[in-house]
Amino acid sequence: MSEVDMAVIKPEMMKSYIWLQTADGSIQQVEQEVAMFCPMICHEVIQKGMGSSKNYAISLPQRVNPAMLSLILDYCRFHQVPGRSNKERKSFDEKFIRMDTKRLCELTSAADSLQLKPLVDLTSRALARIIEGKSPEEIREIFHLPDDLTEEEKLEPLKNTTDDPRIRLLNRLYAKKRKELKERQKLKNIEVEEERVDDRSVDDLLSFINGDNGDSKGIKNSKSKKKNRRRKDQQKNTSANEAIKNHNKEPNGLNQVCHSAEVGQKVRAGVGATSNLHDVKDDIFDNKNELDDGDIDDEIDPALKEKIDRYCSYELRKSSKLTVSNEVTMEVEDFARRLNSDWPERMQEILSFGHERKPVHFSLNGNGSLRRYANSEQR
Amino acid sequence: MIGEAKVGNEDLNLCFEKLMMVAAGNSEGVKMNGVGITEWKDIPVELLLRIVSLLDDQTAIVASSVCSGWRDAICLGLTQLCLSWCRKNMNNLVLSLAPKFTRLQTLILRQENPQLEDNAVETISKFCHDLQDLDLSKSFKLSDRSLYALAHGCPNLKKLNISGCTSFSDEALAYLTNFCRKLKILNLCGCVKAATDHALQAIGRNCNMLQSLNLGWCDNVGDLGVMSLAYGCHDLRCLDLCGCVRITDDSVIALANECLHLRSLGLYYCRNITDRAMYSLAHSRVKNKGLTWESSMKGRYEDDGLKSLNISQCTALTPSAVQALCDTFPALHTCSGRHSLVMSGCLNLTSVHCACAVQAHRTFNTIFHTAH
Repeated sequence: MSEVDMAVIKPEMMKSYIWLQTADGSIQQVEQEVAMFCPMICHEVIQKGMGSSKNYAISLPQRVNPAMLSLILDYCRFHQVPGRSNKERKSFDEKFIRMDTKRLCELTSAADSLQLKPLVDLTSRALARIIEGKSPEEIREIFHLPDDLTEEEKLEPLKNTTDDPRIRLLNRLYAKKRKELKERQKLKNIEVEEERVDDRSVDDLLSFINGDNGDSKGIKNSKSKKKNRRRKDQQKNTSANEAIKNHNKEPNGLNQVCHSAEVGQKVRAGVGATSNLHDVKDDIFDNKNELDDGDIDDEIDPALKEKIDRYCSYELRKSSKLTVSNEVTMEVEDFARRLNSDWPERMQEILSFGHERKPVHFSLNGNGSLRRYANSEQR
Repeated sequence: MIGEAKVGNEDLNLCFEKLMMVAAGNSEGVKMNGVGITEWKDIPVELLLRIVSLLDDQTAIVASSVCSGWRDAICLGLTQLCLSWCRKNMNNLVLSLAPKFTRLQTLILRQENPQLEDNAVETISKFCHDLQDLDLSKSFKLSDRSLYALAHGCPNLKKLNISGCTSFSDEALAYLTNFCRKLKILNLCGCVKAATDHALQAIGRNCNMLQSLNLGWCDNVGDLGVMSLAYGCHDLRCLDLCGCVRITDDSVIALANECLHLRSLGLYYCRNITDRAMYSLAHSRVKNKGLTWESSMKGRYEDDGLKSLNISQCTALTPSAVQALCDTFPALHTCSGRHSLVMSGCLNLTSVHCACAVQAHRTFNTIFHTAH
């Protein structure tokens, strides 16, 4: 029988089919009761009389590709049967949405374009569950979103549910920084954003110093800042890479964090190394959300930043020598703790070992903040 | 050791590849997967907002700082926000969020411990002009500056809760009502300095759409204020005067005569209330029965009139007056299921029953307590 004949005798003799065409051109036929479950298809059939034959196939919206269409039709095929119990439907739904996030996004979009509200609700709720509790980086990673917000927009004091004084300090700093950033807005360009991601860990360290320092002694020169960042990256990469290689990949929480962070970091090759430090810090603080978005612009002298950077890499090198994972964990925790509390004293200790080549020394002010001296005599 | 290094390199390669995919943009992604969206940022704004509406407020704020597409969508679409979960940083959060979320219509800033300061409210007034519902309860630190800012910035306010803000003055509140004329629900519970007769006169003059007013524990409220309120706000439905000890029968009589839609009245601790007030309420109902002829014909008899009345500690009342009231308003109940006529502490009113309670009493012949 020709297709035309089939179309003519369809209502009497055989099961009715609706013809659907996806945006890539492929046409398929679907049982009528299944297809009519979708309001959009239903509308096309009833109001416009489309879908009765191959030539008059209903053109589906662009967001519906064949893979998604088959998923949606599976859903319709199950739910359009009237006799099912609520429990059955619920358990089908739960199994149905078990898929990777990418497909879930596509499915949500496709269902929305077909106006299939129950499926849109189901998938939206699943996506909401995925998004809940994640940090912006994680969300960007999951959904492949561009990291295109300026530093200023990211400076949000998000939450401080653990009454952490360090976080309060950070938040106060954020507010201060936001004001200062407004003045510097003209100097910003895209290049800065790209490099920004790597340096969060060091910036976090810097902020503690900066927070203790009353006034800024930084050079507000974006160019030199960029140069220093690049230099710092290379330096950090070489030393931190060693550190990672030497860490045992045994399943302790620290390494898992590093590992997943490396996979997750997207911006640049070699970034994984720096994320190690950052996530260690996050782990210890247990405040991912507060610190993640804080790309605090440093206003500290770039030379000082160099010092601190070398201190960090020294610590990493030190910790990399240990091979037992527990000791590594302890060492890193120790490091993080020292960062928080004994920072000025520790700096003094390190610098007094003579690791620094340049004749720049630090000393403590009366209020405990660091002060840089031009030459060693003033120590 | 070497093996681990290799694994590390692979991960880095993966990162790099992902970067390339993202950087290459939309077109590459589409080619790789055929037709349909592959980049989540192409998702329509309504769909994204629908998903964000399923998230809790904290996550919604996080989502607005993910990427520029999400930021724009959320900043344009977010209309409700609650920040009461903040325990320490609510002020900073408001300062940074208010300029972003300019379409907010509902903002809940009720605090467990006072954090909010005037600059935050000023920022809200500067950016969120669509605000209709604002909850600033327990903001002990706020001063009149906030009220003046709100007056200028948020003229569309319909619902305002400033209960517990003890530093507000009645001048500032009167000023606010001059600008926020659309107020429907106003909660001044505990605002002793703000809720005075002067302020109530201003409210009566300006906020003619007012439906609900809470003046709990505002002991500066007197008859003059409540009467001005009654004459000005004819649409008043809920009024709580608990703790307003200076009130006398004149207030209630004015309310009874002017506010024909009154559904809920609280007179807890208003010791000056006597039977006169009760009879006036009953009488107004009888008068109005004629006016609501259609509604009574349609069988919505119970929908009109007082539904809830609290006369606890009004020890001057006698059973006959209150019983007359209870008979006049069928929606007032003393039965345990729908208890809405509260008479705690009025030991002489134990004999007052609603119609259904009497029925039950007769049927089951049990002792029925109306006061508890």
